[in-house]
Amino acid sequence: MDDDVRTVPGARRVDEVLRSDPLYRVLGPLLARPAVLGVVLFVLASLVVVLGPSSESRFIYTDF
Amino acid sequence: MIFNTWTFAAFALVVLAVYWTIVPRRWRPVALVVFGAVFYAFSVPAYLVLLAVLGGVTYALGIALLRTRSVPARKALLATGVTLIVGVLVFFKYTKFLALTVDQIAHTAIVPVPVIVVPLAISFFTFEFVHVLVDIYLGKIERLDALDFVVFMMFFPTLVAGPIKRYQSFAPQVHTLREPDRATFLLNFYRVAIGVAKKTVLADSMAVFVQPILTPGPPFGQLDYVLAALAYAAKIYFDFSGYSDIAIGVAGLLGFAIPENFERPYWSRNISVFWRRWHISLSAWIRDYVFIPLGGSRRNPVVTAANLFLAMALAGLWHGANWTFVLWGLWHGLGLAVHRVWSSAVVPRADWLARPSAGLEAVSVVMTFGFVVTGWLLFAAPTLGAALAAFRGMF
Amino acid sequence: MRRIRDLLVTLGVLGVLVVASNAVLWAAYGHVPRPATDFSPAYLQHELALLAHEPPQTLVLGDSVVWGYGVPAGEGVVALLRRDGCACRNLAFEGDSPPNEYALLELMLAAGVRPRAVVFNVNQKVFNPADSAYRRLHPALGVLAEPLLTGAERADLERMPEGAPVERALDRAVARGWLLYAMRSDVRERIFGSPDAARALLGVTQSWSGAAARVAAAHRPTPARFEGTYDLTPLDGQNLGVRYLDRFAALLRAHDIPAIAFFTPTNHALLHEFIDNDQYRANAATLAGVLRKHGVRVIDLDGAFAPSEFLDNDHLTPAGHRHLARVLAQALPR
Repeated sequence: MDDDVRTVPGARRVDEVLRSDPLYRVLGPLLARPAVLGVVLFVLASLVVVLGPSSESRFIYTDF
Repeated sequence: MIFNTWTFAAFALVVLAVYWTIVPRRWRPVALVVFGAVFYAFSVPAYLVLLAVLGGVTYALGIALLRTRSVPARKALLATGVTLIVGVLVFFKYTKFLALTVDQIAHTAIVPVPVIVVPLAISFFTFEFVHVLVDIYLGKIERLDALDFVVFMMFFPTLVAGPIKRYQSFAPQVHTLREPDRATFLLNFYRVAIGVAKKTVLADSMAVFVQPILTPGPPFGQLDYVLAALAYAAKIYFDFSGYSDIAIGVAGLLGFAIPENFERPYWSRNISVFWRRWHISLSAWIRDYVFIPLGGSRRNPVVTAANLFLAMALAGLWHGANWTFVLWGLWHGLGLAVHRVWSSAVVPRADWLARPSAGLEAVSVVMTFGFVVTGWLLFAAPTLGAALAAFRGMF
Repeated sequence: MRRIRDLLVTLGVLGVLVVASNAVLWAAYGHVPRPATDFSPAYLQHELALLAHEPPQTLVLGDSVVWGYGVPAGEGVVALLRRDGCACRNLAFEGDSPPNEYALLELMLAAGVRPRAVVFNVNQKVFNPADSAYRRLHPALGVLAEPLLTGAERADLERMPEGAPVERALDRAVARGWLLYAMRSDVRERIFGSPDAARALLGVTQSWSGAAARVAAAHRPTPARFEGTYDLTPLDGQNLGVRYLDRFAALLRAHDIPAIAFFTPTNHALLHEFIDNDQYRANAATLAGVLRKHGVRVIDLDGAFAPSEFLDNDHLTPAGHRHLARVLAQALPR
């Protein structure tokens, strides 16, 4: 909480944000190929389904 | 509508298909308003009226502010608007809390505790409305377009829980709406997918580990409490950054860039940096519309510290109608005040502290993380007693 | 144009992978020692399809006592019977009750399953209208048995899970297309031996910290915990459980399925003040009468087990399961 920091949170480009994401550095180039995108989507969805917990919850910040 | 539901997935797919294929370019802003209305009405339809009326009043006051030159009249208009908006927030979100507090102090039920369903996202849209009025007053917004404002207000990706947008950076995008190119589309799609995974796998999996904080008791030992605190730190980060990823990604798929909310917050070397990286859109709002109007850090150190405490206590209360949230805010206010004294009075006198060093950096990051994690006990626990019990259990 | 082609390629690859994974999962998912706690409609359909294509087996139905609550899957009564050479399957689940058994039998018959025999437990506590299983069908059974139930039965029984209709319909649509999603609870329990990965990990950390043992000690059963568990209102045709037990037994007889019912071993030392009375015994006699009327063989194990063989009021220790397996092995058709 410093008023001397003038970083009004404007929009940053999504690629700028994702550049620091190690997973994206691996997956990003692959996603450009449609067939690979299909495979990645399937693997990601399968992992979510298998590793997810048996009880889901609402987002913490949406309760109000 | 909540993001981690099939309903939202189906809604988003239909919206994106209709938006980019059927809706003519110039009608896309109008389509966004319609989508936003459907999205919002899905929870409690009647509250769409509240959102519309409060938005309408904000717009009318904003236009009046733009057209008024007299300083007292401008002040009166701003005060009216802010009081009304904050009043609506207080009524819906804090009436029950205030009634309970009065009854607790009086040790009797002198104020009946009302049953009020809190309108979805009220904490977020009220803050955006306050921002619009204050920025018009300060001359930072020079023009208020009706359609731009309605799109800003009803923009469904950020409607539920932010990121809290700024009108100045949002409104111009309504007129330059361009279909994202393939790379941008994929980036945003990836962002949404990662957000869903963060929430459904990582955040939700932490729930079972958090139990010792929610119901502390004899079965739990030190390891359980420490794990619970770490699990809550992971849960709240993955939950809200996952949400933000989905919101920012879906906004991107609609052709909009909106503010970021997180930037590796747990890697912060001090608490001030943490607040520049955690829920960025909220901390910036608190800084711009609470801390700076109070005088910020330009007065003497005691006033600055008091401002920090007040700003953070309000930020805490904003997170939920409970004294535990106020204390959580004060905990961070304390951290920020101590850091301010440290960085202005101690660091300049000790060269070794000012010199960059990996070891010092690591110690600073661990200390900041420890401070934040301890604060989460207050945030997560249902009562102050539970938070204290969990704190004692950790040590 | 290129965009549409790319989209079709992505969706095509995704579709092929989904269909392939459906085929692999259906072919590879064999019998499990016991159903997952929250078994899915897809699991039940798969299990019944397997049973329909195999030689007739003895099917063991019942509640968490038979399922093996509190003991590892390999130490439950059905696993022990199988080890002893019995061709039997565990179809018991937590929250079972006569309406559930009736619905399950209807489903089995509709799926072409012809059991060699059916063994099931009768637990007086689920005849208590206050019990959560009294009128509630397991969600998977509720979904599948819906078309088989009469209007009156649908009115009797709670069968819809919670949630908004749109959300449920979309969830079902995804589950119909993708078997891994439909069977996620079953797959998770099979992989992790726990309802999900997080709970499996929690089990590990709580055993390190000692919390698991302390939680177990804190939950050591006391009589007070079971106040109200057993309803001593005289049982008759007004009771939903009695009515559905009657229908279940009648359906077994109508299809010439040999059936053995056993009264659930119950911890009389713990529950003395609630169940050692004439009304409890009279209710047991009523239930036995309903079953015998339809030719079901009844074995009374209610007071046959030692206090040391119980984890609580009725769930058995591994030694209790071994005892139960010995008794049932003698009664089962060879």
